[in-house]
Amino acid sequence: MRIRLVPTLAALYYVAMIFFVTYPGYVPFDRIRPFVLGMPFSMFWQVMWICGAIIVLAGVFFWEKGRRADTQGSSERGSPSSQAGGE
Amino acid sequence: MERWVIVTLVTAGYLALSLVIGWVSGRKASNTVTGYVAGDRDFGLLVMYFVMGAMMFSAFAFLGTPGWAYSRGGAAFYVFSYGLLGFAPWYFLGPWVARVGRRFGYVTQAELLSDRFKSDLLSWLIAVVSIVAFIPYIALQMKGAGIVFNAVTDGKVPIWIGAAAAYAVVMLYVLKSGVLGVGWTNTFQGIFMLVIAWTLGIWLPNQLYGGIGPMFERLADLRPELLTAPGLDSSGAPWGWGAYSSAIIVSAIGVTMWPHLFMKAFAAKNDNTIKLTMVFYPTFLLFLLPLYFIAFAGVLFDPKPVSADFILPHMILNTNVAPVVIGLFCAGALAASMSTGDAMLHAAASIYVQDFHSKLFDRKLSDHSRRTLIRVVAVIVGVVAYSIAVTTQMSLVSLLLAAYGAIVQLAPITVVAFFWKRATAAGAVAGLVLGSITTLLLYLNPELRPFGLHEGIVGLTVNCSALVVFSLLTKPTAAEHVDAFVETSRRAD
Repeated sequence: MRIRLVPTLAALYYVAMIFFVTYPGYVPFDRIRPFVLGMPFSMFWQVMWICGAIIVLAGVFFWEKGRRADTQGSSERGSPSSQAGGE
Repeated sequence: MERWVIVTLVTAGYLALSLVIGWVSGRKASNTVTGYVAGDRDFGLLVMYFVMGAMMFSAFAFLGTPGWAYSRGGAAFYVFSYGLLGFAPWYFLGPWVARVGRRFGYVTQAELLSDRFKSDLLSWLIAVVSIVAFIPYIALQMKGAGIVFNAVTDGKVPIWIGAAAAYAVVMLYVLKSGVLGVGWTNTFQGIFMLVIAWTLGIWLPNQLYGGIGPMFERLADLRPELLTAPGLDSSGAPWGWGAYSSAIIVSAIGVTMWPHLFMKAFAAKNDNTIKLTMVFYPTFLLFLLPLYFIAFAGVLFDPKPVSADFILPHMILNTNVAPVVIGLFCAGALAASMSTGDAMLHAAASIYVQDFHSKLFDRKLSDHSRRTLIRVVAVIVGVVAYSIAVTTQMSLVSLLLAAYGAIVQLAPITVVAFFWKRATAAGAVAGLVLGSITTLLLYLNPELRPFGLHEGIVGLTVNCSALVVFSLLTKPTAAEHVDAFVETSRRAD
């Protein structure tokens, strides 16, 4: 099975997130100042990961869409492995 | 006009509108079990987004989490993390579930798992666990609705009437329209509570402190311990990182495994619907922000609420908010309760009929009888949950947590169903049973937990080990069947 770059990066985002919103990755960012958008930094940090997730998942979605268009355009039928792709 | 009369009128107006939407929306569904339970697998993006979002944002989200933010500060931040982590796997899992559902005709999680492992026992077990988890959850939603109604009408509307009014409406549209009623009312209820929450969440801190920034500045001076994770525990002492972190992981796995989430994946029109829902889903989490703002606004506010869970209604009632807005707030809280309760009521009844009754008593049940039976069971479940809600004071939460612990234990089976062809029925049943028993045992005897780990994590370890050992000791499931299942899940349409 080939490793696909975009889904791997997306998965890494979530792995990184697990580290950075729990102990010990959260600790350096779990602080009151500086305030961002009126919120303490600890709270903004959470909001940032949420917004990041939207961007990452949207990235995966459009990457898959592009790939599907590619395989349909270039060859009549993709190989079984590329048909199963994207997951 | 007195304040409570206006509040009641506004709320009644909201309930009437919910009923109309729920009633009318069912007209399009076909007269089949698939129509009633999975909306003919034809849910588009808008409905899917609000079904997923509003379903998760229960009365607990509207009252409980702001209560946490108010009394335990940064501890409440864990909800953001587990909400995000719990839904992320559905970007991939959702389309797989939907594909095997279309191909093999599943409408529930237990149907999917018991068919993959060819085991009726598994179906009964999952059905029992799900229903045991659902009933106290529905009861809590009903109670939440009653409590809010009671609080905002200055005690004029008793809890039992408020809960009955809200859930009579739910019952009517669930019976009439099935999952389509749930879908379209959740869309309406979801939009409604988003608008109310953001409006009040920005307006209130402005009114009291001149803005969100100035509010947090004052908190940073006076109560800095509330503004960072892991915040405080329920007694007000600093909470530990271990408990905070493991709560995130266990809750995330639990959210991923809720049976009604599976059922809604079966309702999706196509892969893109589910994937886009999951792309947009995190925006729903941001909806907690305004609720937290209101809760934090309450920290330096006098008078204090009777209990932390009342912080939201307490703030609304004591800050010169116009009665109409109080009514809208009450409707928003009811929307949060109803949009969760309806999905669970519908799911509990469907699961009982599809996964328990028809597998144990009567396999040849016709499509028509199934639909009738689902409706009858929905009424029974509703009545049982309602009686629990209005009579018991107590350990509902304990029962809920115990059942929720068992739901978490469905995670390993679900993962191996799609990934490990060698997993067998014996392994699945052994993992589920041993994992659940371990969790329950450690939940009841906290002193036995190794290293103070969350009981769910220990349960999962036992579960996975049993799953592997018992699978390898038993004969493999028919290869053809398993191959067809796994390949269908991976094939895009």
